[in-house]
Amino acid sequence: MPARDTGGGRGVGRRLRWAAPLAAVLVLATGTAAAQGLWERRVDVAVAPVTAGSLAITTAWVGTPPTWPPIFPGETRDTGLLRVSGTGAGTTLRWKVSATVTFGDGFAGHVTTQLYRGACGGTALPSAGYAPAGGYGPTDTVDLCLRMTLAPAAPSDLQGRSLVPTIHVVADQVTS
Amino acid sequence: MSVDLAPTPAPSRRRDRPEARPQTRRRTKGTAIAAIAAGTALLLGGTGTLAVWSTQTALTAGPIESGNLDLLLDTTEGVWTLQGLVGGLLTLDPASISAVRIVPGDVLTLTQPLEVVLEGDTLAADLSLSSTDVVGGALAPYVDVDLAVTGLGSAVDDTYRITPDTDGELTATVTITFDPAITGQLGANTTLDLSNLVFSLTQVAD
Repeated sequence: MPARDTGGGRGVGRRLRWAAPLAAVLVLATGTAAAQGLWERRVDVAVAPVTAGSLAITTAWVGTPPTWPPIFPGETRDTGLLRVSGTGAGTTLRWKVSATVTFGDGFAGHVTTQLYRGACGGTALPSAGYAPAGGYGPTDTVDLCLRMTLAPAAPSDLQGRSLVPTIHVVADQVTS
Repeated sequence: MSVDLAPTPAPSRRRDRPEARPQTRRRTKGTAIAAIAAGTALLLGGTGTLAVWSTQTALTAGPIESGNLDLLLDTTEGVWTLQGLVGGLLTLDPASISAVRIVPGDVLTLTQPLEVVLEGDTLAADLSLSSTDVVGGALAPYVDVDLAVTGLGSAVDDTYRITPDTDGELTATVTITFDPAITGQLGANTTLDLSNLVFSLTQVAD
């Protein structure tokens, strides 16, 4: 059938028009890939994964938690020993301890505090923290004690209110 | 005798076309066969014309050998060390390196002897760590990996250009530094995948 022949011829022509650029692109692509295929040698060092450590501490009162009799202006109260234990891991990890104390509303400015390393009255804990030479090891422990003094001039509106200290213990990685 | 002078009716165009095409194809085929035959004859004739005087001389040059590019290393000769922010340098047992727990500021170092073989008049190659991510895992964003090779001058992006004049026994030092500036507990208890730690020696084209 003439009509069909003519149409088929056009189809072939169209396919050829597409095939020629496509073939050229394929040839170029292959040539480019081949040009990058220079000599190469790779050697695997084959080493096991390495895991990062961690820095963590827990705190617990040594013995029973402290209970105090009522405190009056000018008086001092000591907590028991608060044990700080390192629970982190790290081959080179060393840490130092520091602590701060806060109180409930109204007492701020009327209570003075002093933190000690070990029993109260012993070695004061510097505000910048403390670490022995080389720092504490990942699982080392340190005991702290808190001494609180209610100011002699504490206002009377503090009478009958609970003085609740909160000790924030911080462990920082030693960097030098 | 009578002659019929009536004109023969001209065949209609409609009928002619289908008949004319086979004839055209036959004519084209015939032309093609004739052309092929002529070409073959010309080629045969051309071949025949070579069969006259000729001479040849042997090329006396010896064989040409290809060069070589190779990188040899013995991982058992590699030395792993760990230096923390405090304390001394620790030498690690490669077999138990998975027991190491690195922390911010740590520098994990591999000192690895290498032998680079480059043979080729025009050969040059780049020595580097693998082109893909050298280290993977959750800890990867917090570590920096560097390559230093003794005796090769300065590197460009931790890549060293080596020629046959500078190949031979070399010492590569790979340092993996755990960012000392991170805060909080970023990266704690995560894994650093060193399986992509691959030395790569690649011929350069420029």
